[in-house]
Amino acid sequence: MDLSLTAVYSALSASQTALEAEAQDLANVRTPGYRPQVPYFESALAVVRQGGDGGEVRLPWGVKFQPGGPSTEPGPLSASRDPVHAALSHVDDYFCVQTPQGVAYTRDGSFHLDAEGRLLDAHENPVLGEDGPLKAESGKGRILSDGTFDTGATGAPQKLKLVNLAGLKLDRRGGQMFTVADGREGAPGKGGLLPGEVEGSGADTFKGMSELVMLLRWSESVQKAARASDDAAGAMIQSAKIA
Amino acid sequence: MFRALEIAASGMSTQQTAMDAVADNLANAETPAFKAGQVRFEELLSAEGAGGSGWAQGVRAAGVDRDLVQGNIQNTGKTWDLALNGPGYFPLLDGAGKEVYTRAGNFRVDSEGRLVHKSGLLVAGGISVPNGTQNIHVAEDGTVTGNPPGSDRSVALGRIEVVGFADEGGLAARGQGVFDATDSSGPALRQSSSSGELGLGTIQQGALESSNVDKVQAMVDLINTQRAYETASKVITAADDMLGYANNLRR
Repeated sequence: MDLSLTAVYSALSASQTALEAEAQDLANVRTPGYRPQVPYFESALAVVRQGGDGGEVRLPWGVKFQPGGPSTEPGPLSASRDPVHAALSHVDDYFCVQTPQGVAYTRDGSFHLDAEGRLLDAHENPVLGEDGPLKAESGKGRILSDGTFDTGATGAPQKLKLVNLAGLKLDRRGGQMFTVADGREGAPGKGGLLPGEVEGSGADTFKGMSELVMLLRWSESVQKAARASDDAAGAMIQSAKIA
Repeated sequence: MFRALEIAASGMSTQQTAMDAVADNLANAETPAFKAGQVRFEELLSAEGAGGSGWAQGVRAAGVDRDLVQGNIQNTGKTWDLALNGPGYFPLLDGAGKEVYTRAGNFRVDSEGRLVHKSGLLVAGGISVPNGTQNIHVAEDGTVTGNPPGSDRSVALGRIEVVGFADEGGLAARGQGVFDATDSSGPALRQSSSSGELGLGTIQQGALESSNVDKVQAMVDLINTQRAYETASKVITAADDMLGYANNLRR
């Protein structure tokens, strides 16, 4: 079995998957609250033969690309004139929203109020407070830096629910939303809010374009390696003929 | 399947939509009471995918949000230029008699003496101003008074209403600064003794609300949009190059 060719195949397919992840991040360079994927490569091993004692012998097979969890690099903040827009000050904190499929977490703080005074996210999902969905009976509200949703009403203040998801495995749900993979609960949020700011995309054009160049050079060198391997095989066949 | 091309293409078409919004903002930087629009970007994933997360499918423009902040009030000195200082809308009547709404108070009197919006739609309230009326005054609450031709006594000519909405972001634009009420905006709310304090704005005669487009911000958006478009197009080239390397494994 020609291991060099299987390694070439695995490298080309890993570079294509990596390019897809890169394309996704670069397509979202202007999406508020977007968190890019932390890519990682791991060497792949394959069972290629049974050893003499019946045991398996594992040989390097090439490389595999795994799109990792969301990056915790914060996106740039931009000022907003909307009183119910806010950004999170701690990099591992998330807002909680109620989607039809259950609770999801997001960094995108471009919220708005609907006609009934409910606080909704950009996808019309209710934003959750400590005691359930937030609502301004007066139809007017603003978010304060300590997490209070100030509606001008008297009584106990409503607070936005923030969770800290550091160290948990997150699944992407689209629309800049995440869920926790194994259904575990996040810790209470560790930071406060930055009212009047919206977090931009964490995807960085400079980083993305340089990674793109590296990926291309990598595929090019894999191509060269494949040709060299092919040439060597050809030369071997030629020399066998002469003999 | 190699999805990098489709993902990058979604980036290009989304930035194109964003460019339309930026162009609309720049074109309306001097339009009275115009509200700047901004595209809402949304990360797109397929429902099913590997390892709990969906497959990456790029980005889409989920809609255009309007910035509802009031523009500056600019004095024009014209009798029928009315600025609304504070929240609210002027109700108008369209050709079918349906109520529509605007904040652009550049009104005029038509040949039949009726008060109309610049789009030609009637201002609700049926205000009639006979030709030759002098000393026209519009009070803060919208009461219109003037001296009829040949008289030096001021009489009431009608009242221009101001209405509010529970969620003005839900209003649907129909062009020329005119909006329709929708289910999400809720019906027009009128200040009455039973409605509670709606906090509606007051009318200022001889002034207009200017566009709330921040031209510098619009130029920055223009540059960002163009660069993001370019980035997506570079990814397409890169994907093409990578496919080329695969095709040329064998000389």
